[in-house]
Amino acid sequence: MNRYDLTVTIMPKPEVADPQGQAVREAGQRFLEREGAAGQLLDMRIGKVVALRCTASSAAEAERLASLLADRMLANPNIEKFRIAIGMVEPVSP
Amino acid sequence: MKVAVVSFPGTNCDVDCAVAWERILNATVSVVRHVERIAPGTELVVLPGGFSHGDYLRCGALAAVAPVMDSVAAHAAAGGLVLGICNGFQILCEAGLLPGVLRRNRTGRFVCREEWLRVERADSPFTAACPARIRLPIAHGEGAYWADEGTLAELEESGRVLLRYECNPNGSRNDIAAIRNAAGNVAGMMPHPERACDARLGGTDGIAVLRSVLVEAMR
Repeated sequence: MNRYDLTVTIMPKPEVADPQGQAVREAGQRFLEREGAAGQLLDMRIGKVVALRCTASSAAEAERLASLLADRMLANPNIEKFRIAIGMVEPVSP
Repeated sequence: MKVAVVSFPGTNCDVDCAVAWERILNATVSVVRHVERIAPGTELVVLPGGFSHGDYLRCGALAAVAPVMDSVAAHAAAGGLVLGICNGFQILCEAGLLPGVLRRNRTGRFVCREEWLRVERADSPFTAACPARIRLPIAHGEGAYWADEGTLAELEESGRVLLRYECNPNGSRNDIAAIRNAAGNVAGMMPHPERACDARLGGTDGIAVLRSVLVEAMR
């Protein structure tokens, strides 16, 4: 078994309104205007990043576990999409 | 009538529901914890409002995978009645027992007030005893019902919208306040009928929602 670090990035789907992102964008635009960058911030969407660590016999299995979690629990497929990035940490001695 | 009110960590309307169903329907109510199971013989499962698991991840997302939900799903699959109120509606959507999802209010603000609702169905165990309009309290930050176009069309065509806001307080698609599943035995609503069962406390229109199950049973 190896130990894997995975990152699940979850974002609202483009067709779904993101009131939080919109509110933060508007505040960001006002802030940047005062910093002399008026009109340059065009869009902002806010999602989540979940860092997880698991043991698995292969990278494929680790990805399957992360994908199962992401698909059924971490993200809501109605309104969110996700992607998974993987990196092995270290082999676990048996 | 045997009623199970499910309580998750952070649920805060479980006692209100238990008292309402006991008083209005003279029901035998048991409060079932999130790690327990729904007892055999239960006729109605109520998922009450609150902030289960602190609304972490998404509202209802952690409750939706709690151990008790396997037996709630089994109860629903066997045709048993399930009503989710507010956070309970969010949990039913997250658990896939109802389509769609509840999203943050369009204004970004928590809304706590009474709303007029149009009753769309007179043939549901959750609205059969209701007049054409009822006034119920709402209290939520994430009550904007959202489903994709296909799902929304299916809900409308099959008459699965139970309640609609007369004045949309949260940005819900199609002004939806309550829906039911295809079989009709599982429903979710953002308004709180249990908070409107006493004239001294927020009106009495909620009584009709609770009594609907009896009216429907007499058909």
